[in-house]
Amino acid sequence: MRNEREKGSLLGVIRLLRVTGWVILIVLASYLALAGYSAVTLRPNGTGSAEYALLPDGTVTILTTINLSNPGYFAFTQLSIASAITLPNGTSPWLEAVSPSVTLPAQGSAQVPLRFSLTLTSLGPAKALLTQDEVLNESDYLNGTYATFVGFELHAGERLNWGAPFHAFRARAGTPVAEPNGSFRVPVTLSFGNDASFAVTGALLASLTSAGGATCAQVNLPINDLPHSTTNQTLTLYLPSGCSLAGGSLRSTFVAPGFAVPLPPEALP
Amino acid sequence: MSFGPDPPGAELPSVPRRATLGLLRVFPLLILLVGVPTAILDYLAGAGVRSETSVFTVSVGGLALTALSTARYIARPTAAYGPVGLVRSIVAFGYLWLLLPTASVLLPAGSHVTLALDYSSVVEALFVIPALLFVTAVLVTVQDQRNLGARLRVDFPGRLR
Repeated sequence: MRNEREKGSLLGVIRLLRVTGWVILIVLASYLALAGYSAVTLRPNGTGSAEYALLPDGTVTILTTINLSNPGYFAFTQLSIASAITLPNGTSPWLEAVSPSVTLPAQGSAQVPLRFSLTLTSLGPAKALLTQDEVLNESDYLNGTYATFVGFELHAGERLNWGAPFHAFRARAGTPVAEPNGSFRVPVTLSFGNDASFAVTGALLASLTSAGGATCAQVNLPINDLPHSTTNQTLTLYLPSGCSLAGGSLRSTFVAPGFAVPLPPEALP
Repeated sequence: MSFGPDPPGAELPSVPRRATLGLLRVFPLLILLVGVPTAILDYLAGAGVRSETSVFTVSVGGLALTALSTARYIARPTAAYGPVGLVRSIVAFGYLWLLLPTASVLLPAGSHVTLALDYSSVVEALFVIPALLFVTAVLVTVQDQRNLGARLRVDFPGRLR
């Protein structure tokens, strides 16, 4: 009888709306309670590895792969990592990298790749990093959505040890010694350590130049330095008789097949 | 708000009875709408979690919703039931609207690590509740203007005389 009375009237719709409201409220509350419980018990694990490489065009790539695992009941979606590296003097940001978005399924795992690119030929304010080890500031941002509804951003700041590929580079010219043919023999010592995590393969071109910038003599030193190795070589340059080094300089350039990087020059007396 | 004799087929509870039951409902409502949210905010503050939602907003919003829910309950056998429900749904909508921009927390997770959570999507999902309440209240108001007795016979069914 009652159902017949309600049928075709607003009362049936009202009753339906009330029931729908309660159902939605209960489902939503249950979902949020379960998501909250899962989040509280969540202990996501993250491990990472970094691979350094010096490409033929003079670009250093740092490929970091971060492995994440999710033991919770809900997935992480649109998960991405952004990272920015600033110089010790606060120049910000110097290097930036953004990973693609990935999904970390419930009770599953995912890999998040992060690639930094650093062009050695255009370091700008970071030029000192060629020859100086530094402690850089790294800011990492992990963004994503948990359980469909909760957005999050995890910010972690950490120190990054940078090893210079030409650490403590020094080019020293010795006292010129006169040769019987009228030229001068100049000993040149090149020393540095490869503190980088990548091999440095190419040649060091050392040039003695006059005060006017003319090249008086030059020599090539092939190098194939593995990470964390040191170089200390004395080479001999022969200076033609008409070329004066007074007020000149000893210029050094690292030359690889696809690029060249000038290193700090040394003034001559 | 005079109700006169009960419509045929309905058995309306007396005003004192509704007032008493309405006041008894106040306590669980206060716990749910004021006590639990403020306790959560206090707990988070104690744990070093910064929340932009203020205890004041939650308390005032919870008290307003409790008062309106109680008034709606007491007014259920009357034509004021729908309008009071309308006001309640609008207040609930405004309450969620106030919560929306502050729906985030900042958790310190270590010396150099912070975790920011944004639960505005949760609040947005909750908007469906006042929306349903609003539509229901509008329909109840229309129904009561057409035929209050029909609703009362459904909400307060009595013995057939």
